[in-house]
Amino acid sequence: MNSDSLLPDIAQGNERAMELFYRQHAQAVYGFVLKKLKDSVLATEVMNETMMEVWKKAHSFEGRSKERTWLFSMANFKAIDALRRQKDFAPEEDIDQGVEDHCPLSDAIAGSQNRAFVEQCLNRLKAAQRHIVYLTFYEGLAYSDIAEILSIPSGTVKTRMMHAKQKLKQCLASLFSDS
Amino acid sequence: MNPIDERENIEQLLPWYVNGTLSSEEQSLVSEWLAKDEELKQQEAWLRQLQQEAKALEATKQEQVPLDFAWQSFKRQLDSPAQEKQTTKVNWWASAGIAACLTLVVQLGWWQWQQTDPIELLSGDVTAAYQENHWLVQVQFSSEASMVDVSVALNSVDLQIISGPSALGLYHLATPKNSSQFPDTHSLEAWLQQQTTIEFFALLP
Repeated sequence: MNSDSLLPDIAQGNERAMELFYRQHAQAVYGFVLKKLKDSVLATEVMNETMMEVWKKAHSFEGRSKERTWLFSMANFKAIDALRRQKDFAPEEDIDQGVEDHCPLSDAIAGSQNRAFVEQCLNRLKAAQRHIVYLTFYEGLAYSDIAEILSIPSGTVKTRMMHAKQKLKQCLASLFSDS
Repeated sequence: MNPIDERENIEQLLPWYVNGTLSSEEQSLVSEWLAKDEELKQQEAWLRQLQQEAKALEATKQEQVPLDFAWQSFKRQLDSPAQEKQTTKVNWWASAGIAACLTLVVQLGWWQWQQTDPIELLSGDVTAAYQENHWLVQVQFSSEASMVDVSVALNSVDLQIISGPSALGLYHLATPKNSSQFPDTHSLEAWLQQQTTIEFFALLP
């Protein structure tokens, strides 16, 4: 366990430690669940539910995973629960379908220079692929941590990222050639 | 592992080489391949650009949680440990329901006066529609304030509720940028500070 970890103090019921932890991580948890839920009200609620889990379960954190991995993993489950409570919840479709990688890489690189294009193409990814791109490039997490957070094998994380990458290249090249 | 499989494995590791989270062993393996494979080198450069763009995008568009208020809301739950979780949830939704009713009543009153299309006000990304020509403010009304107090305060100036309440009880208000009452954000800020019905406010960019 990180020597600066607040979790031992939180486990002892220290509210000040909980507040510090909350202030350090709430924004990241909110950003993560908002990606999944697409609803700021629900995301705020799930963020606080996750923090309540931290308060209740801090004693069970044994340091086998990183603190943030543990936290995001709980947030992921809470977000899935919240989605299940929604009437229109539908299980994610098979997202491991690859795409043919036939676009020239140079076009895709040139296309990616346009932030608007990048945003458009990221939005076109399947949710599960987008989460992995987000956790990798925005949160800067290792593939093993992402696997733990999303409760999927490491191989699946790599495959989804590979497919996301192919789709992004294809999408960016196509937008670039149209512009 | 044959060279083709190994190359595919390296290609799969590239995103995490770029974000710097590979083990030292994996990292040296990828570095070795990058030194001899031009296409992988190009992919690495592309991924670095993608990382940069993705970070910049998130940083500009990520909604900020009003931490003080989120924490206060959380603390209220912490301070009532005797309550069963279910009870807390029912109370939470009851409060949200009351707040939602309050908004609806205030908004309906305002629509009649402003003759604004309610559909527009109920659409998903409401604030975006107002961003260009309005000053936008995020507020939390005082828990002591009644519907009438809020309504009177907002009706006295050119301010309207455009969305809310969020789970934290926050609302978005908008006022036209060319309004005679609020020609600039300072005048708007000064007015907001004087309002006893408003417990917290933040001007949105």
